[in-house]
This record gives sequence, C-alpha cells and structure tokens, in this order.
Amino acid sequence: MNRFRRYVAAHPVSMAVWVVLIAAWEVLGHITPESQLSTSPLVPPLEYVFTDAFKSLANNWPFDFWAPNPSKGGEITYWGAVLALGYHTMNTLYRLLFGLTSGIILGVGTGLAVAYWPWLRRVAWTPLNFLRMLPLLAAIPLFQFWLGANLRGSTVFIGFGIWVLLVVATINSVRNVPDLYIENSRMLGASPIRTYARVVIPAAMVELRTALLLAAGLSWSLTVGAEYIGLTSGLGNLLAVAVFFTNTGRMVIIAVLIAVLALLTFLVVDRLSRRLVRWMPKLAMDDVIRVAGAASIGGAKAVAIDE
Amino acid sequence: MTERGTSSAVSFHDVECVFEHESGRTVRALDGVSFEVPAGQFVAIVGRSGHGKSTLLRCLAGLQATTAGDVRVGSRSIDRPGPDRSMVFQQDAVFPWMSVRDNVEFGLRAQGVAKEERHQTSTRWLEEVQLIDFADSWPRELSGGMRKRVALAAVLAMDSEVWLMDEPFGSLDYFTRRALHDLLLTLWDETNKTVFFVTHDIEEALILADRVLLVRDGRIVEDLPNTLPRPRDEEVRASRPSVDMTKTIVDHLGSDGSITLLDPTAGGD
Repeated sequence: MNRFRRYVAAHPVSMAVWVVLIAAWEVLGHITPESQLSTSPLVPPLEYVFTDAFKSLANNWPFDFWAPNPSKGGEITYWGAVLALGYHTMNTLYRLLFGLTSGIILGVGTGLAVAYWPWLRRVAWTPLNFLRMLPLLAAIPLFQFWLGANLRGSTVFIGFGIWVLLVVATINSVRNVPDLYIENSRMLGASPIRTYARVVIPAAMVELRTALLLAAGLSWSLTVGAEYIGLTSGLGNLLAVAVFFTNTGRMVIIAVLIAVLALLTFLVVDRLSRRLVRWMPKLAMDDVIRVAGAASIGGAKAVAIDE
Repeated sequence: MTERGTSSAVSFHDVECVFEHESGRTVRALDGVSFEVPAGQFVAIVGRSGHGKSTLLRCLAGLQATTAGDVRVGSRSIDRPGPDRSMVFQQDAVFPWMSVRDNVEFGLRAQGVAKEERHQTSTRWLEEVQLIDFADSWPRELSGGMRKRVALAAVLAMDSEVWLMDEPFGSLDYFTRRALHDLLLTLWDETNKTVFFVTHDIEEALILADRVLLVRDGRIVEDLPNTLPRPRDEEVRASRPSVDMTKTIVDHLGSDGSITLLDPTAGGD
C-alpha cells in the first residue's frame, strides 16, 4: 500500500490523466444516446460495467458444478461470472503459453541454424520473407481446417506466428553482430562453431531481446484472433459472444483484462530475457524496453515500465 | 621465447591487395609491399588515413586475403589467423558479455588449455596489467583505458610470437595513452615478442618503435631505423634527432604541401 502511495505521489501527472480519462468515460456513458440495436449502452457507464455487464458473463460458465449453468436454466450470479472469466482466461493463457514457448524455441533455433549455414540461408530466405508478409489472421481458417478448431490447432497457429517473427528477427540479429567481435574471436584462435556459440549468439541477444518482447505482444493478438474467429472458449471467444449480443459492457471488461494480461506477459518476458543481457548497461536495457513496448502493445505500457 | 633479432619473424614479398567496390571500381590498398622484420623488433607502421596501414596489418593477421605476393611468419605462409599472431584492435573489441577474466581466458579456452592452467595464466597477466582486482567485473564497469588493458592481457595470455596492434590507443586521452605506452614497452621488454604497431601519430611511433615503416598510397615509401635512446622521455623527444626524424616522416607523408612543421628546438623571442 505504501508502495502504491509512493507511486501516486511520484507520478501526479499520470494519475491526473487517469482520473480525467475515467471521468470523461463516465460522462460520455451518460450523455451518449442508447442504440435500439444494442443490448447495452454504446459507451457503458462504469456502474453498468461492474454490475449488469459483469454479471452477464455468468452466461459463459459451461459446467453444472460450482455455480449454476445459465444455459440449462440456472441463475445468473456474480460467482458464476467470476468462474466464467477465470475458466476462459485459463484457456487463453494455456494456448498462449504453449504457442509462445514453442514459437520462441523453434523460431530462435531455426533462425540460428539458418544464420549459421549459408546454404540453408539461401534455401530458406525467400520463403521466410514470403511468410513474413503473409497476414497471419488470414491464415487462421486454414489452420483450423488443417488441424481443427481446438487446442492443437490454436497452439500451432500461435506458435507459427511467433516462429515467423523470430526466425527473421534472429537472422537479422546475427547479421547485425559487429564484425569486430568475430574477428577478435578468430584472432584469439576460436573455431567457427565456438565463435558462433560464444560470441555471435551472445552479441545477437541484444537485438533478439527486442524481438522477444515484440513476440510477447504479438502472441496476444494471435491468441485472441484465433479464439475470436474459430474457437468456443477463451477470452477471444468471450469477446466474439459479447459482439454477437452487442454487449459493450462485456467488451470493455474483456478488453481491459486482455490489456492487463498482455502487460503481465510483457513483464514476464522482459524479466526472463533480462538475464540474457545482464552484462548490458542499465540505460541501454531500458532503451530496448522503450522501443519494444511502444512497438508491441502500446506506448502507455512502455512508459509505465519506464517509470 | 624468441631471442631478439636472431631470425626473420615476419616477411612481406611483393604483396598486393586490391579491393573491388560494388560499383566495379578497384582500389589498390597495398602495392608491391616488401620488407623483413627480425624476431623481437618493435615496428611502427605510420601513414595517413586510408593509405593502407591497417590493410597491411590485416594481411599479416590473416583477416584480409592478399591478391598477390606472400606474407610469411617464420617459414609459414599466412592465409588465415593463427596462434602465432594476436591482435589488439583500434575499436573496443573486448567481449562485453564476458567478465574480465573470461575475456582473458577466451583464447586459452579455445586452445583447449585446462581450467587450472587457464586460471593461473589469466591471473598472471591480469596482475601484470594491474587489473586483478577487476577480474570478475563486467567490461562496462571499466574505463576505456582499462578495457584496452584487458585486450592486452588477452593477447599476452595467448603467448603469440607476433603482436599486432591497430591504433590501439587512438581513442584514449594523452595521459592514459602514455601510461599504456609504458606498460606495453615493459611487457615487450619482458617477453621479446615482435610487435607491429599501426599509428598515424608520429610521436607515438617515435616513443615506441625500433623501426618506422612509412606507408603512402599502399607502398612503403621509407624504412627508418629509430635509434633514439630509451627511455624516450620528454627530453629525448624534444632533442634534435627526434625532431629531424619527425621532419623526415612529415616530408614523406605530407609532401603534397598540406602540412607545415614548426621546429620546437629552434630558438625564438
């Protein structure tokens, strides 16, 4: 609590901006005319968001235990809403974790292999650049036809999106390693493979870390996109249902929750990848966060971390 | 350890190095370069920027292929880097992701030296360059001069016969540079290695070297023995022979009239 107070005291302008934004939202919620087509106000006031809209999330609780199941005539309760939100959040996190982890491992691994062997680079470079240009969301239906609208299909799709980003980023990171380090390694008698493992890869980590932070942001877009288009669970699916019923209150709740979770993912990846470049000056590390944060999931997040 | 001046450590025979630019234009960076350097000699290679000094050193390092001629270390023809040569680069080439000690041990590890011996060797040379208290530090925690000493220690740990130095102290302030000159001369004196020191600083060349090779337009235009007595303190550097050598060097390298040298030994009002 003391920490929160200190933060508020240290950032009066940011706090004031938040207060103004929330107040403006509330005012808009009360002066915006209600649409005949909508089941909730176009701009939902906060009291509506935290009561009716939140409670209606209980409609997405699919089980008969722990809380009534509204699809079988059960009562709509706050507890049911909490459970529904938790269940769909866990589904999303499960897919995201598998997709992001496998995408990072395979993407960085493939990138390092392609960068090391020139013949592999010649073979892979053109298809990789084509894949990089492919709009990933357009590929969702294909993946769902091939692999099914299930955990496997969504995980492979998310992993594929991260893989494409990181293969290209890893190759570029390796390419941008200063020749000076490689020449110094050669002059100190290191073999090509030792130079690659002990010099090129660590040197490439600086740039690669930025790509990892970008991947953390992209993974949320891919996961929510896959769930929105073709899955029957997860926060993306909740959003699709909210859109179907034009329930703006629920849309706001889910959007805010996704933003908070994306920020936490970013912080986790930031913390883990920091170890890879702990030798860098602190200022340079903060620069990486600022760039990656602004590019991946919004400048406000980067500023929040920086502060 | 090689006995000083006994045999030819390094030789260049009609070495040419031609670069072809993407535009198709060719640049002759080295043109018919020939010289021999006996073991243990300290050679300065002096020239203006872009006239081929660093290319000459890179050919000797094996980092740059020659287009004609032959570069030899002892009896071996050079076409790639090898354990008989070590290099201190102009820019900061210390690996920032390794501790100071790991940097010094990097070459030893590559040669398969056992851990215990590596540790002893790195300790010895870190003590020699007065960085033993910083053995576990990151390079970012050191000053520019200290990082140059790390690079020196890494070269020393390799125990190569030939040290190659490409304007290693160019980016340092005067006093740090002078301290490193003293350190380098002490280490050279202890080890009897052959040193090639590229610089565009005439004073630096005269302080350090036994011999000065002047490079202009990719050619060796003069091969000057430096017989100034050691140690080359302020008095020696201000002496008539030192000024005469400086004038000779300027005449050879700046003979397009772009440089005028004032004589510091001349009396004035």
